[in-house]
Amino acid sequence: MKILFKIIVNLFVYIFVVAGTGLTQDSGRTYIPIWPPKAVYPIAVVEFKNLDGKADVNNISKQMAEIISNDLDFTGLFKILDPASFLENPQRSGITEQDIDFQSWSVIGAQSLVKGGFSQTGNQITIEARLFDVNPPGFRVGRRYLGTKETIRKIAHKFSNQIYTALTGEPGIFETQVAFVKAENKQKEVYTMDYDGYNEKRFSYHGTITLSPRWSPDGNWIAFTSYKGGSPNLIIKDLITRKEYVASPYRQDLNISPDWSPDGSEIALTLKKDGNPEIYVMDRQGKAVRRLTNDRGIDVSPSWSPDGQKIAFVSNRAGTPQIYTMDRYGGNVQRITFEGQYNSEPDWSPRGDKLVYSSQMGNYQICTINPDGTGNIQLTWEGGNESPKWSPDGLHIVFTSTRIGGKNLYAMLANGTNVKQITKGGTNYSPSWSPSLP
Amino acid sequence: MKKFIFLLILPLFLGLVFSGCCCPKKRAAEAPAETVAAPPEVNEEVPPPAPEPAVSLEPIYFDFDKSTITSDAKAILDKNAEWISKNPTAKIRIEGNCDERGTNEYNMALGERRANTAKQYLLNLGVSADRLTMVSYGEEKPMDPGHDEAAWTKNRRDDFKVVE
Repeated sequence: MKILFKIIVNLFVYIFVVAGTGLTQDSGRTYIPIWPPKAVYPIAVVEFKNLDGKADVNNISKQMAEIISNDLDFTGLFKILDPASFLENPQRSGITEQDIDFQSWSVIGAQSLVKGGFSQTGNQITIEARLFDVNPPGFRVGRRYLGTKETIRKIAHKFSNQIYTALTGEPGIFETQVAFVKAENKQKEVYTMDYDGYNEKRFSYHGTITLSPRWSPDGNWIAFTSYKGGSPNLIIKDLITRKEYVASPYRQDLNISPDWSPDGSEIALTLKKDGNPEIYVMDRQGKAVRRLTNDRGIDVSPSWSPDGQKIAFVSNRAGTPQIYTMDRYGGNVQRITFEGQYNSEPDWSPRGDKLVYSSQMGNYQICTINPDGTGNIQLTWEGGNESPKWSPDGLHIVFTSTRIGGKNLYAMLANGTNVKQITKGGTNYSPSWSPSLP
Repeated sequence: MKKFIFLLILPLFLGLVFSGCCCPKKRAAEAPAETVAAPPEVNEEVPPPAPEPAVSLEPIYFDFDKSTITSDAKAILDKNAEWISKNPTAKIRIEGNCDERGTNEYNMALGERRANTAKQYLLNLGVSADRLTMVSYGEEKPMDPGHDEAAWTKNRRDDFKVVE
């Protein structure tokens, strides 16, 4: 009887825990812990094999390995092994489980191995990619992709997500994008790019000043502020059709600092319809406006908590700009920053446990703090650093920095380590990280 | 009781066997290829920029993170009010601006407050409300693109543009 009970319990664990993750092949496997990040898991990413021997004019072989290596390195979890230490010629050795000499990877210390190959027919490129365990040897995950030279990076990012999920049990962020503002010739327009800075594309065509892009939770829209029409209006634009509409409830007025509610049905923003910049919530058509704050100071930059129950914001009601939280109806206001004279632009982590913000300490620096106001930590030290925003998995922060002169976007882990420069030139600032995109 | 337990675990076993059978099919060689397409390009055009007003009255300046009117600014606002009363058809756009320190969004709100304090001052001098409009440019339209106190002093200002 006892044994039977044990079997039932084990089966329930199997059905709901293991099968629920979609990783049935990996039952009983231990995952790499994602936090705190320790760059110790040794992985070899091999240049891809040219399977049909045609000229590799798009440099697919090296590109695939480089993009996947950069993706994995971004997470701060992996030690990417130096290809110079590899013992085999990637263009001659096999890319399937039967054909790989796992011993030659074990001796250089690899724990996992990424291999793949490609072939080309006209414009069409076929790429196959696989992840193996080295010790004991075994196949983990494999995919085959059909694409063109324009989608090589996307394919590499897709397989990086497969690797990350297979090894950590968590979804990867390698197909996400970042929206930001680029200043050129006194005009400031919204652009988008891949999370790693590639594939930059212009998004707004207003010929004026735009600011504060915010990606909708479903990934289909970007809300931003635009001076097209003379005063700062809220624009909501579809990423696919490129159609846009004015969502401002009061058009010749102040409509700034939008933030989508987690379910995407509402937008919190600052209006001054009652005479003073206050925070309001409305639907995405600019209707059903309700007021949340009511004081004589400035109230701006709302950020919803991931459960939609609270909103963090900036107010100078006590004399200097400081960060406060309130419930979604404007009640229960609590000040959470007390150190320094200028704390602003809070962004609530998608994990719910932290807010990131910028604080004036001579220059502006990025800090995190618990929602109850305890445990504030400074994360940046070099140059001026502003407008921090979380990645959708809550493990990374993208921000604007002047550390090498000019304004560029950088990303770092949520503990301030593993800093990567994302934009490489021009004036780029005010980022917003997309949700996981299809 | 035993029968009950058997009925309970039977579907679980079937599930296990079924999902177990599926596993090898997930291997790369047999998996259907995923087609990865680039998003379609959409052509969009930029509208021509709005013309800037030619006539401006004298600007007023503010202290850092403040929207209160200084005594210097009062003298200028008095002069501006006089010009407005002598030009009864003119309409004025008060443009609030900030220096680059502080965050873009907070500065948008601060620029609004700066425009508003000047508007209230002019209203108190008898200028009629329908002749005044306001806009905040935050830190987005600096007069001086520099990054020092000399530039910041010029950028914390209200401009008074004659729009009609």
